[in-house]
Amino acid sequence: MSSAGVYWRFLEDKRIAPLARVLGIVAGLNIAVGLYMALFYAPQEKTMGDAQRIFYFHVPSAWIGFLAFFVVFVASILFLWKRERKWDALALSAAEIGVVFTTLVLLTGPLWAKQAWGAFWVWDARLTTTLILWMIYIGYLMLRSTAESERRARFAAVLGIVGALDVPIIYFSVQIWRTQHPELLITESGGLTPQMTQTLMVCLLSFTFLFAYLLIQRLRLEQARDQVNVLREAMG
Amino acid sequence: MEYLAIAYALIAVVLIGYVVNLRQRMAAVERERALIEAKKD
Repeated sequence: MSSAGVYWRFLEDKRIAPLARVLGIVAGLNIAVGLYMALFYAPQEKTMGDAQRIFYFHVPSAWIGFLAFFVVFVASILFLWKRERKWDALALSAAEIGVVFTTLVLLTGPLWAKQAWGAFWVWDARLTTTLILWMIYIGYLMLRSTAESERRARFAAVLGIVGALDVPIIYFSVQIWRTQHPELLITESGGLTPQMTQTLMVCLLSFTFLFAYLLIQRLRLEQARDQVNVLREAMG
Repeated sequence: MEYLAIAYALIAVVLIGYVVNLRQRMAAVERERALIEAKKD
């Protein structure tokens, strides 16, 4: 059986609902630990003060956004290649979650920037390319909300692939262009203290669990919709 | 401190809102499925 078949049948399994619930609980507990560490364990940064603690959830949000759009990229290629509905469903589900987390990046970033730079928004390379990424995938979701068709799914797959190409541009923007956005440094000489790094890692892990939980739930929704459509067609 | 509070509150609102929205959409699909199956029977 192909790996695609395994993933689609895995979602149909009756045991997946309680398993997803356990994953959700683990993510929730992990987020609670991360929140405690971000507020009380990680030391206060000297220049930015408490506003720097936004970083512990801002960076994981960006990480999940990138991860989600990478999934869209791979699933869209597989859909264009194999023309199987499951890949289209995976791309759509990951895109929706990617937009949610990129929205978090765009909401939390300006609050941190106001404290660090004195302005909510500057047309900096990283900020601008992140906004473009968000807009591309908002367009993707708008396209998906129009009437169902094979042609629309193909258009969306192409848009999903093109949009994901913005991710490496965002990542390397701080090296390519002169920007105000800080480059993440997890080293002994500069950047983060060990407590800050540990807190960041816990928050990254917690959001990764949350992403897995949300992706399973969103895929189950897409599969349930397909089953209802089949039933509706059978009824005439 | 207020920016931190606003940021964390926004994160909570967006994530909880999305989870609730997912559950509502799933419940709507399940209701529709039950309706169709009841008609079929």
